[in-house]
Amino acid sequence: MAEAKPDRRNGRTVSRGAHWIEWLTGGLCTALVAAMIAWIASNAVIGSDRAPDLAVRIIRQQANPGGGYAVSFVIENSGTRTAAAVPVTGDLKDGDRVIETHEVTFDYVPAQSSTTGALLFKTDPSAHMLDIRASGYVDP
Amino acid sequence: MKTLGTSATGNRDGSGKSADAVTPAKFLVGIGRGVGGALLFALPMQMTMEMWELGFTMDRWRLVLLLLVAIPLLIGISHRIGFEETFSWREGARDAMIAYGLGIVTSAVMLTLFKLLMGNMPAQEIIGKIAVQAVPASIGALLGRSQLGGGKDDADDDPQPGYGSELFMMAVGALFLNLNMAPTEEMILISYKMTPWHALATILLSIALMHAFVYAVSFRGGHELSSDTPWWHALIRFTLPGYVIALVISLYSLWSFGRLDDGSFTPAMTAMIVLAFPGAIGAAAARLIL
Repeated sequence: MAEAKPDRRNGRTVSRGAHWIEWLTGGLCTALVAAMIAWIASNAVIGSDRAPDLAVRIIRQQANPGGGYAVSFVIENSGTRTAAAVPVTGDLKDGDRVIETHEVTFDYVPAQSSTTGALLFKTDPSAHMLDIRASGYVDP
Repeated sequence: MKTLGTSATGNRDGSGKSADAVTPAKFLVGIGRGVGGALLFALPMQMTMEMWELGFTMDRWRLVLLLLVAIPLLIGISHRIGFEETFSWREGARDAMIAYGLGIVTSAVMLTLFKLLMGNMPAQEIIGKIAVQAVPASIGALLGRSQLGGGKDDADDDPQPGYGSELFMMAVGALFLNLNMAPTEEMILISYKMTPWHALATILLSIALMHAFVYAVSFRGGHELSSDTPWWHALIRFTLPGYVIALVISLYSLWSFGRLDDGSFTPAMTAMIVLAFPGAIGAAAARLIL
């Protein structure tokens, strides 16, 4: 945009003739910021039920070379709110009798995200019934 | 540190202004200022637990990338605020590398002082801890050499900086504050506490503050808006690109420090907006200060 004003000697005035590339950059950035605002605003309007929704799914069981067994799992939060300090408890049962119980705590499970972890057992979980669940959370 | 000694006596002659002829004593003063700057800017990070942990938890490729990105960044800064008006790329690279060296040495000394580095640690951990601190410390060293220098206030006789240079300085300012804050857990914690409405308000406040900081208020070094320029010209050409730069730097810092690894798109975006708030302030202030 040629504003036909001479450059001021003492400095950085915005009225100096702007190169087209400044307007191109500015235009692209304006579009980006507008898109981001629109996305957040749509989230704000839609996302009214704000609660975590936690589910735990086992992905792998394997024997550790150093002894014991690792059970890897995914914890998914399909809700629209982040859960903090989430304990995941694993009970290894033989009928009604609980053989082993272990627990790990996730600092955060962000909204609409999943994260992974593992529980370590002494006995082989594949020979028994394994129950893994998220047993609580704290609102951040 | 040997290279410092040689460059003190060596290649400066003949290029600079005669009044500023570099003697070994002057060079040592410059080094002292660099150390002062590195301490001033990097101590908050050197005394932050998350930064120590990053020394051994940070993904090694991301650390390498950060260390490499720092080199052109430091050369760019020394170009923009270099003490000599007769700037050559060789001098810029030399100043940048001196600053990088000072950053590494001061970080190593400080971490040793705090008993965070010990002989029985694996080399991986020791080097990682120093490396992650060296980047902010080296930026501090470079800024310290110019800002603590005094008497070299170049705001008035600066050649008019180009558009790219203006955006570059915004990126430096944003990166500087972001490196301080991105490692801390509070950034993601705040983003988890926020509702989308809070995020929206943060975006608008960031842009408004950034715009006010440099354009509406005619601070030293700030843009003077002439009365016939519509306010939105400056908003589109400078403030919004500056904010996007703050967002990108914020995203890069969070990714570098592994803060985005578990999250999906929306939580990552909220964390980016949270961290871009100090980034925007840093970006706006950089052009006033530097």
